[in-house]
Amino acid sequence: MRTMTTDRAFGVAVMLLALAFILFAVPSIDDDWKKAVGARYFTVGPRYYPYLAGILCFVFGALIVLKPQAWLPDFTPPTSPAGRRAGLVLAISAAYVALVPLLGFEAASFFMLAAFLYAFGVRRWAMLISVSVLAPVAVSLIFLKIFALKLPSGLLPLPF
Amino acid sequence: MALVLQTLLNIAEPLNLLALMIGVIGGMIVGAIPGMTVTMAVALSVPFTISMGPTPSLLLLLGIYCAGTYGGSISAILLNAPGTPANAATVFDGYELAKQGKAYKALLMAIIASVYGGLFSALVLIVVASGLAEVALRFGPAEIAMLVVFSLTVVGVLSGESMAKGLLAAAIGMGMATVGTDPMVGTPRFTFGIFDLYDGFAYIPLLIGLFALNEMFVQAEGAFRTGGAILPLKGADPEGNRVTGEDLRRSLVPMIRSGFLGVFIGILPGLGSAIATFLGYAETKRASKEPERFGKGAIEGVAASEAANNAVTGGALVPLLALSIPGDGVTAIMLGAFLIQGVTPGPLIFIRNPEIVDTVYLGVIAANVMMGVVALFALKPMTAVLKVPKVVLYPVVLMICVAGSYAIRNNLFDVFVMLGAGVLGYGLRLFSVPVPPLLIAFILTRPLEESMRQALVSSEGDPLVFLSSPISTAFALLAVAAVLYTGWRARRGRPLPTE
Repeated sequence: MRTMTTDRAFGVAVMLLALAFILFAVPSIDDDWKKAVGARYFTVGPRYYPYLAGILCFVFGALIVLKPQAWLPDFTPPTSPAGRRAGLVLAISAAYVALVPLLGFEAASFFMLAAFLYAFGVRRWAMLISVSVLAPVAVSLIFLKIFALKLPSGLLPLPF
Repeated sequence: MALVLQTLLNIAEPLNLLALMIGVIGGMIVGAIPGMTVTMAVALSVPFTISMGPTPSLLLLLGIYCAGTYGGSISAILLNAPGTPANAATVFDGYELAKQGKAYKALLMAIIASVYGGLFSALVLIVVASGLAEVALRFGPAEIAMLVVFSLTVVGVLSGESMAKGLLAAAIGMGMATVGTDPMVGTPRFTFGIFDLYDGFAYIPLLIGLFALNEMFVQAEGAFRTGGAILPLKGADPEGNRVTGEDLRRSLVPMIRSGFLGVFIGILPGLGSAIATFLGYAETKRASKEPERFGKGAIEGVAASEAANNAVTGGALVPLLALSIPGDGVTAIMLGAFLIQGVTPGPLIFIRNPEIVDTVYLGVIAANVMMGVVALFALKPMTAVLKVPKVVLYPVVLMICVAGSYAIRNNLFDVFVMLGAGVLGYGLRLFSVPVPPLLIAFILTRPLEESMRQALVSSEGDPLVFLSSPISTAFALLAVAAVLYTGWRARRGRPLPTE
C-alpha cells in the first residue's frame, strides 16, 4: 500500500512538472519563427514538438496516478542504509566533477579514488594508494598517447 | 563480391584485428562481472572511438557486444550469479552442472551455443537487413514519422513492468531532445542563453550517465559486494570436463530453436536478450521429453539459453542498420557511435556506405569466431576476473565516465550533463521507469520531428497526412494495437515479458 502511495506521488510530481513545462517553459520559446527565411512554408513552429512531449508526459503521469504499481522492486528509501550508500557515491561523484576543473583530472581523480575506496571500507593502504595514483595516470596516458585526447589539467597538471 | 573481399582484408589488418580482440576480451571480462553490464561497457567505450576510423570503432563495439553477452555465462555457471541479465536462465542448469564438478563442460557448451547463436544471427542480419532497407527506401516523411512513432510505442510498452512508465520514459527523452536549436527554423529552445546548450545535450555524456553512472549508484546500494564462492573449473571426472557427442545430440535442436527465437526477439524493438534467454530455456524445457531434468544440470538448458541470448545480437542490428531504429540500449549507443563516425544508419547506408554495411556483417561473424577462440583459451584466466573486488572497479569506472564525457568535445559542460543524466537515470530507476526508451526517444526525436514537420508542410497542416498511405496507416494501427494488447494482457494479469 505504501508503495502505491509512493508511485502515485511520483505520478503527481510528473504531472506537475509536465504542466510547468507546458505552461511556462514552452511559451518561452521565441515565436517569431515565421519571419525566418523560408519559414512561411511551415505550418507548425518550434513550439509544436515540445508541446507534444509535455502533453505526453502529463498524460502518462496521470496514468501512473490512476494505476500505480503495487510493487516497486528498485525503490530504496533515501534514509535506508542502501539509500545512504547511493547518496554517498552521488556526493563523491558531484564533488569529483566540481574538482576536475579546479585541480585537473589526475589530482581530482586521486582524491576521488582515495575517498571512494576509504568510504567503502578499503583499509589496505598499499592498495588504496596504488589504485589512487596509478589509475588516473594510466587513464590520462591512454587518452593522451593512444587517442590524442587531452584531459583537463587544472592547477595540478602532470608533466606529460 | 570485390567489396566484400576488400572489407575482409580491411578487417584482417593488424590494428583492426587488435581493436576486435580488445573488444572481445573487454566484453568478456565486463560481461563476466556481475553488476557490470554490456550496455555500460559499450557506453564507456564510445569515447575511445572518436579518434579511430569507422572500421576499428565498429569492430571494437561489436566485439564488446557479442562477447559481453557470452561473458555473463562464466559467472552464471561458476558463481550462481549471471554476469548480465541475458545470462539469467543459464544459472538454472549451468550452476547445477558446476556443483556436480562439470563446470568446464557447461562453459564449453555455453561457448558452442553462443558462437552458434551469434553466427546464425549474423546470417539472418545479412539476409534480412538489405531487403528491409529496400522497402524503407520508398518511405516518405509521413511513413518515417509513423515508423518512429510505432518503434517508440513498442519500445515504451515493452521496456518496463508498467506500460505508462515505459511510455513516460520515451516522452521524457522526446522533451530532452528538444533542447537546442530547432532543426527547421533555427530558433533556440530551452537554451537559457547558455552557449553549450545551442547544440543540445551531447549524446555520449548522456548515455554514459544514463547507463554507467546510474549503474554505479545502484551497485553502491549493495556496497559493491561481490557474489559468493567460485566453484572449481574442472572436476575429477574427465567426462565432466568435455562436451560429449551425447551432449551435442541433446543440445542441437534446442540450439536451433533458440537461435530462431533469439533473432526474432532481437529484431523486435524493446525486448532484448534477457527475454530471449528465458523464452529459449522455457521452450526447450516445454518441448523436452524429460522436463524433470531441467534445473538439475541439463546440458541442453545451458545450450538453449546461451544460443538465444547471443542470437539477439545480430537480430537487434537489423532495424538499426536498415531503418536507423535502435531496439535497445546497446544498439542505441551503437547508433551514436555510427553518427560520431559521420555515418547515418538507415536505408541509404546501403547505397552511400556499402563498405560500412559489409564491415558490420563481417564484423559480427569475426567477433563471434574470435569470441569462440578467445573463450576456449582464456577460460581459466577469465575466472580470475571474478575475484576482482567491485569496490575497486567502480571508482575507476567513474573516472572513465568523466574522462570519456569530457573527451567528446573537450568541454567540461558535458561532464555536468553526464552527472545530471546519471542522477536522472537513477531517480527514474527507483520508480521502476526504464531508461532505454528515454535514450532511444532522445535519438529518434530529431528524425521524428523533422519528418513530422515535413509531412505537415506537404499537407499544408492537415494531420491526416499521417494516415494517407497504407504503410503509415499500418504503422499507426500497429502502434495502437501494441498499446491495446499490452493493456489487455495487463488487465488479465498476464503482462508481456519485459527486461
